[in-house]
Amino acid sequence: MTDIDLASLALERLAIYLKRPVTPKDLELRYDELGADSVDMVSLAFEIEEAMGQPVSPEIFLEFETVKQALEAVASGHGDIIG
Amino acid sequence: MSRNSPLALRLNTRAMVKTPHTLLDPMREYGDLVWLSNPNRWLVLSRSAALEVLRDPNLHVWTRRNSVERLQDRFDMDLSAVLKALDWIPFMHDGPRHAALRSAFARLLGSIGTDYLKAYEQTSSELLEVMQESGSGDFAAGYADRLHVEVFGHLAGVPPSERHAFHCATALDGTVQAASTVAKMQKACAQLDSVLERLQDLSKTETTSDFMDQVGAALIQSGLEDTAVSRSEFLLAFLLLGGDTQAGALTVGLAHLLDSNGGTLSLGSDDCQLPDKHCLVDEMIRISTPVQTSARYATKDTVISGQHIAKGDAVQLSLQAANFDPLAFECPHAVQSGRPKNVAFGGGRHLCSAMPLVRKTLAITLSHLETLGSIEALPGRTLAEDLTVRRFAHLPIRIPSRL
Repeated sequence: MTDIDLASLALERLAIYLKRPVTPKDLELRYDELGADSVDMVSLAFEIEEAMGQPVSPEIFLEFETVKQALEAVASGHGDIIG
Repeated sequence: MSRNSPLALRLNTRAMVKTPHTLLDPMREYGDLVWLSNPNRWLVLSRSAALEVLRDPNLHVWTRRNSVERLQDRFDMDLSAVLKALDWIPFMHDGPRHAALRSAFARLLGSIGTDYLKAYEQTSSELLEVMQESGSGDFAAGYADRLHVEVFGHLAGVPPSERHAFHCATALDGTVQAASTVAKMQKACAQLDSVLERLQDLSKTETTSDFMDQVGAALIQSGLEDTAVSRSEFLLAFLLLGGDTQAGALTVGLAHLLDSNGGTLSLGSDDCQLPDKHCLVDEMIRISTPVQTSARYATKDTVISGQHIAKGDAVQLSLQAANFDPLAFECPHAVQSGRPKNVAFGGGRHLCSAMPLVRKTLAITLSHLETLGSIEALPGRTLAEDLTVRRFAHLPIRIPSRL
């Protein structure tokens, strides 16, 4: 799955979790500005895991400032954040 | 520091366990309390602010049950075993449920304390003897990780052959207490279901021991229902809570003592420069601070360390940072006597009821280590994959034979 697909997945899922439209710009916001909580991040990690077919740790979202940066790391196979 | 600070501080939980001081110490320059942009919450770094938080009636514990229920609903999966465990963990609750659970744990620990310590002493001797005979061993996997389950098994009438399975099924690396992958939670549920089933069998058996009667009495006297199901769920929490924290204090504490003594420790020898056993136990607990953090949320507006905390805000205590606060603990990495009380066991209404028992078990271990003569650190240490309790999964040591 490419980073573009991951971004689409994140936009779709976050819109459901946050109950509002989510745009690509939102993925560049700090988490406190985005309004997502830890359950949203665990959920998103699970969705990505399902889509990619490999484990993705929710901690990945704590290691980057924005969802976009975290998704880029996942897409590039950043080893120590997957697992 | 303001909530709207342009500074984007993040709490990388993995780094917090692996290299806590590298992550947390630089944050101190921004105050006792800093705003984290990720995750969205206040982080408490000083001992004084931690004590304020622990005593503030307007700050309630974070209810993980809600988070697990949301995940369960979102993905239509069964996480009921995790929910059952959470229902019996005192620090996951506030109000009447918390009071009842805390009372039940305190009553049980009070009534089984002597037997627990006796079994601990025996188990500790046996496990260390094995290591001494072979001249080396893994102090984490071969000793610290096994103690609580072995002692529990002894008390509850679990045959020795079954205790390893109990240990494996309850070694969940913090999956119940903190955010984890959904897959890990599903796996944990399967393991917990098997433990609950076995605990229910033990609860039903009339011939087990006085232990089950003591469990029943603790539940009834605390206003909780006493059934085979409630006993098994209560004991599940007892198993989950005791093991990892004890292992954390023992392994991280011993590793620190070894490292600060050049890799060789000779407890009780004339040239040993360490404080007396009483202080050493406290210092092992402070330096290890097994439970890394504790989360709260504000039920009303409040003020901590001069900082306004708005209703609904989340506040995360770094117990590790508070116990290494240089203003409270001079030269915080040094093992010293005369320290103020640390916050490793929490405080206020959520002070861990097992604290006196844990202190006594650590004293027993130190006495037993003293009889070994010297202990040497060996390479091969690894931290556990646990983001809630900091402990070593492997801590190889050598026990040179005494001539």
